[in-house]
Amino acid sequence: MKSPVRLFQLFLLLFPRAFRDRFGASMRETFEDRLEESRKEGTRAVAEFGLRTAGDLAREGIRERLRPTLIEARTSGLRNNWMGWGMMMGGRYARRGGPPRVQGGEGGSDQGAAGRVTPESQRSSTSRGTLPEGGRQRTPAHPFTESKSFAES
Amino acid sequence: MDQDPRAERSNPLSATDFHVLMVLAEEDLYGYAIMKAVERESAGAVSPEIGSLYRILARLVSKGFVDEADAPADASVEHRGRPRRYYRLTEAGRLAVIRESQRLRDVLELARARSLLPELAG
Repeated sequence: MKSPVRLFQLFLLLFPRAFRDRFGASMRETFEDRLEESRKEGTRAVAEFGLRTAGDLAREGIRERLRPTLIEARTSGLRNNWMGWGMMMGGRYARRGGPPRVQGGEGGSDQGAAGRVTPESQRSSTSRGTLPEGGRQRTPAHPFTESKSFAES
Repeated sequence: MDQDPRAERSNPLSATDFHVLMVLAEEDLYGYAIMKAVERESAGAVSPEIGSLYRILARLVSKGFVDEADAPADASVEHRGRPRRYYRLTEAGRLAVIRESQRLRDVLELARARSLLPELAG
């Protein structure tokens, strides 16, 4: 019983972590039930079941990574779309002449010394008319840094 | 849950989604029992494997049609020393099954009107 379950758990790694956390235990339980059922039908049935399950887990695991089905995994879906994100940020920085330089910033807060823009970057940005009159600019937060599922995975 | 309700109304359920919701309309079930019930009720036409079934369940959970539930009082709760995970149909899920059943009934009526189902003509 041990080795098939271990193999199953390896295939389970193809699924995103958020999915495994939510359904992994239940999937294992179902696998054990089906394995037991096919054992009653003989070795051939076990082999067929193993092959079918391996193919299904590989296919569905990859699909789930490409197109998450869970609400909690929506941020993972955006993360998977890294090319789109890269293009978006690239275009943003290209317009501004590069990301702003921040001194003593802790998480890009708008208050106090945190997130202050250096005179150099301020000149560069204000010349393009992108900074407000106060001359302060908040570092654009990474859209996924606050996402739990991203941080976990 | 935060999906556009109009989209929900216009999108028919897939055959497997429909069968999963149908078996859960009868009673709360755990993964293996859902698989067997779907196979039985569809006369073997729909037979989801483990990965497919749980992706379907995940989709139905995220739509708010299905929820995880405690094991029924009369069920054998333990499975190899661990509690079994049951799934139940939510009110939104029940409405989705009703809507899909009505849509299928309309299709059936149409097929009958066009003599595509002679055995049901009458």
